[in-house]
Amino acid sequence: MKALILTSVIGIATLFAGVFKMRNNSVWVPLLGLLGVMLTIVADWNTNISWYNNMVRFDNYALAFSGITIAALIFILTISIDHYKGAGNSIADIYGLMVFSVVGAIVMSSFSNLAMLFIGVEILSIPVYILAGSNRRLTSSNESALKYFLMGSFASGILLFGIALVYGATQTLDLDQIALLGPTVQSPMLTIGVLMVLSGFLFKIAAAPFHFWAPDVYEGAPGLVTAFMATIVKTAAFAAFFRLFSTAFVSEESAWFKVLWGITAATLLAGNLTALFQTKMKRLLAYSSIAHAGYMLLAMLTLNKQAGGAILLYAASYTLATIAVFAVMLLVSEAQGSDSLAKFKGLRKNNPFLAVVLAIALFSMAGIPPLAGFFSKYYLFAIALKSNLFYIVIVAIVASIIGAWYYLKSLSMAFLDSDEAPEKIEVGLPTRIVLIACVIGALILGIRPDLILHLI
Amino acid sequence: MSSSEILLLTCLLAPLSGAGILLIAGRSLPKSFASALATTSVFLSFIAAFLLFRQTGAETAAFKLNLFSWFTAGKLSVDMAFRYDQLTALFLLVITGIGSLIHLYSAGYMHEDEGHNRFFGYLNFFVFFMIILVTGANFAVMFAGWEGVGLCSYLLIGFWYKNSDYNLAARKAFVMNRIGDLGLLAGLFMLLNRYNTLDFEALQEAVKAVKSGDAYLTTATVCLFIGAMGKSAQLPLFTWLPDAMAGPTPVSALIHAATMVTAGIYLVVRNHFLFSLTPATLDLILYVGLATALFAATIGLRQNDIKKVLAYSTVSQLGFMFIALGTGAFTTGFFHVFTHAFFKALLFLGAGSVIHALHHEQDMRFMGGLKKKLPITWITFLIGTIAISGIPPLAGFFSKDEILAFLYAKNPILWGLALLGSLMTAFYMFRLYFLVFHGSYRGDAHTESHIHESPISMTLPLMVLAACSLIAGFIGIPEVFAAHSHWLNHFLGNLIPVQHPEGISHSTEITLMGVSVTAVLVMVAIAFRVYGQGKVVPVAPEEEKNPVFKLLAQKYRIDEFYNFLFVAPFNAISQFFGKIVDNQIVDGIVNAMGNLAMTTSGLLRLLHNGRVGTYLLAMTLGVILVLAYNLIF
Repeated sequence: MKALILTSVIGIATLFAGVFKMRNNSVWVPLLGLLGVMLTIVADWNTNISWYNNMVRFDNYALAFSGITIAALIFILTISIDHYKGAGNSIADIYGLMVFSVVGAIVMSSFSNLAMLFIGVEILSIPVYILAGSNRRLTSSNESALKYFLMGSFASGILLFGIALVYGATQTLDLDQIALLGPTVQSPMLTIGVLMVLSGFLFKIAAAPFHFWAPDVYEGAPGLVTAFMATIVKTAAFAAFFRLFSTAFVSEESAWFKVLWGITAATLLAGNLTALFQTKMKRLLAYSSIAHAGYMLLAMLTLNKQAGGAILLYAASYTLATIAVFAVMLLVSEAQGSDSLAKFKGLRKNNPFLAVVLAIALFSMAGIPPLAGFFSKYYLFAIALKSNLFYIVIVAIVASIIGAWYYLKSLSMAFLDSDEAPEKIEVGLPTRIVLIACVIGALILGIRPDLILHLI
Repeated sequence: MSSSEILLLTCLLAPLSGAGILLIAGRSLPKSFASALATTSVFLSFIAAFLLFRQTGAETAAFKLNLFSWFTAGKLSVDMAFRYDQLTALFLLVITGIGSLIHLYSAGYMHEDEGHNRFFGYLNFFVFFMIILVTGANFAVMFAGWEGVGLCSYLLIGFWYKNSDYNLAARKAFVMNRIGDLGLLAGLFMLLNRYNTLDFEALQEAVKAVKSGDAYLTTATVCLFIGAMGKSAQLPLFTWLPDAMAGPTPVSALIHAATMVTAGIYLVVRNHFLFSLTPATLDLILYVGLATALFAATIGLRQNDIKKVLAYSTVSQLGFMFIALGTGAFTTGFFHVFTHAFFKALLFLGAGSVIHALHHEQDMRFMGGLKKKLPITWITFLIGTIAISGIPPLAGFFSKDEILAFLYAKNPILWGLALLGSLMTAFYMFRLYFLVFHGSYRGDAHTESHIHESPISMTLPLMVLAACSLIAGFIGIPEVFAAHSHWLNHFLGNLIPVQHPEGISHSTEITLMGVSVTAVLVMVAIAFRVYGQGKVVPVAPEEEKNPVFKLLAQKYRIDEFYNFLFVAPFNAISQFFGKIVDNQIVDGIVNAMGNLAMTTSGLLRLLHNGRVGTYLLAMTLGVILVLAYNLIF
């Protein structure tokens, strides 16, 4: 609860930093504040207290997922120190919106009432709509914001309708109550409600066939915002998704299991296959993030106790790799004027550091040992196999083979010899720290995945 | 750690550190330093081996040095353990002693070579693995050494890697050895399967209750012997050894004459407790050895390349060693290993000295009359030739005669055949000797004007080895001359039960010696009459008129036969799998999968047309699908 309140206060303070025209220095307000939030999370560990008539409950699950989203925001803010250098006064607004959005993420990790879930989703989403359009002079940014808003409202509507139906069937919004009453309710209203809530979530995590918005929005939004969406928004959506379906909706499993199975397979294949032909890094990462959602859906299918840890590990390793790739991509596309894959050609020549970071991050995404990406995938597959989900694991393995192709293709670009190799790119100290932290994190989680796996 | 253990470790680690330094930093070291380092490290090993030997008597118990547990899997647990006993003691002396001499020799021989430092790195590495091979306390450690020497042999045969023929020779040696290794591994697994251990001592305990002629054990020992056949170049796996002469001559002396090729004999002697339980295997060893001895000797009669003659002679002498093992006289087999190491290393190094003097001319048709120009090489080579021919009192006589005595006890006909082999040995060796050192020089005048005796670093090893060839036989003086005079039998007696040729009286034994020595002297006389005056000069194999001689000169066309029988069909199969199965079928399937993914990708991409309307439609359809899924399926 401290994390939630403190983060909200930081959001307001950040806006004040803008009022006082702190300009580029305004980043230190959320940055230092969020470090403090991390401390409160550590302090609250193992307390498991529920608040306000069980509207939210800060158990370890909530704290762990909040921690990941806050850590991701800290990384993104640190990169922004270099990225937004010389930007105007409105920079503090952007920081403020990011912090508020993370408040939503914390609510989504900790809710124990469907009303809180919906509030969390909206707190998370609305700032991101604005962030997507934060580059006001660019048409593509505006287009991205509008598309995201339209599609997002549509999905929110479906989600809210689903919640209403569930309420209608069970007369309660409390997760524990729903779990208790669920088996006794005979009405198809509950089933339909659960399936509509499912649809809403599938949109948020961009699962096929609800994923069409993602590539367009990711591509149009400013780079850092895309990184924000790919990591924080996705992690928060999965945290809420798993929290809800592994507690309240377990009794309806027969209704949603098969459909989710089909969607998992479709997401894995659609994400990886469509990525094959992409020529732009950002768009490629959008499809790759769809594919990664597919892997995490595997854990949803098993719904056993360990699945939460496996999702957490996957989210952490995916976040580390994604932030590293985005940071490198931002630097290269700024220097080269485009994020087209061809512009990465020969990166190794003048920028060996960036090339190596890119290599490790992409290897981790492709799931190559001994990096974090390998073990997180391994545990997901292992848990699925334990639950006898044999065929879907085969689909996932085939999908990851296809995935390796485009990761390695992008990577080989960076290591090819080229006459048009990018000049030496200046990497600021903050960015450098984040890149090194991501690489070390990917290595540590690869060697000791149990650090996170058994956290919750 | 006791002082003996420290000495044994020194013996092991000195050449390893030499090899490590030379192979890692060799490029930046000066040549003189590299050769000095390599020679010193092996010499240090020799000193350690010698000090250990000093402490060892016939009664001394073996000791074991267990460094660490190498690997454990199920019931099997293998230690990185080394064992030092009387047999190891003698092998270590030979390996490190001759090894040091050959290192010293190489300092002169390889001085001009650009790969000088790499050469010494490999050579040290070889000595290290050879020591592992003879000190390993179990089959696994021994096998590590066995493969290690094989690797070094491969590297050194192909040392001049710019010559593709040499690379082919190296490959041939490697492949043939692998065939043998497969047998060795099979035998090893069979033993493991039945006795759950690879430790020599434990195995010896385990087979105590086994009856003689046990079928399982016979199969296992035959497999082990196949391994020995590969390493020690016995029929039918011998063709790699003559080709291995592509390596520098010191390598031929050390690896392909004195040490590595005797690993097969070591394997059998070390496991004598297994082989003595399987008379059938022993018979097989006897006949294979006899056939090899005769076969290789006949080829040696008509070779013109000085190193090839020595190579076939080595194959033939290895055959003699296996004959001894086949009669159950394990100590005698080792005795011949011991004496042969000295005189064969001497002969190879002498040949190397000649080749060095003649600027890498190896064909005896272009030699002759060198005794005045290379006096030290000449004298020492003559000693080696007499020693190998079995003329008393030089080393070869004692060991070869002991083999013949055992064979006579077994079957006089076999004795006759082996005697024939030893007569041929005397003939081709003296043919070589006369062609090289007597008569007049037949090469071109330019080379003649540059002929010079080799430097001291090369002649010193020749002299030491010549001295050893003179006296090495005295460690095994036959009991007919004096009781308890056979020091070797006594020294190894606790380890390997002493055998005596049964049913042969002392007078018979002396008569046999007389017959063989007289016959050898007659052969020498014939060789002198034919080649001594330098009038008869051999011709190239193609010009040979006599069809029998031509067949011999062409080595029975055995290589061509193997090519036809094995290599050609194998290449055909390989072509089939490479061109058809892999390129067409496997690649076809893989590419089809790739194309399928690409095509699907292209189609899926069309759905992303950028219109919000399309996306909303897709979403709506998705919601309907989610809701209706359970109704449809």
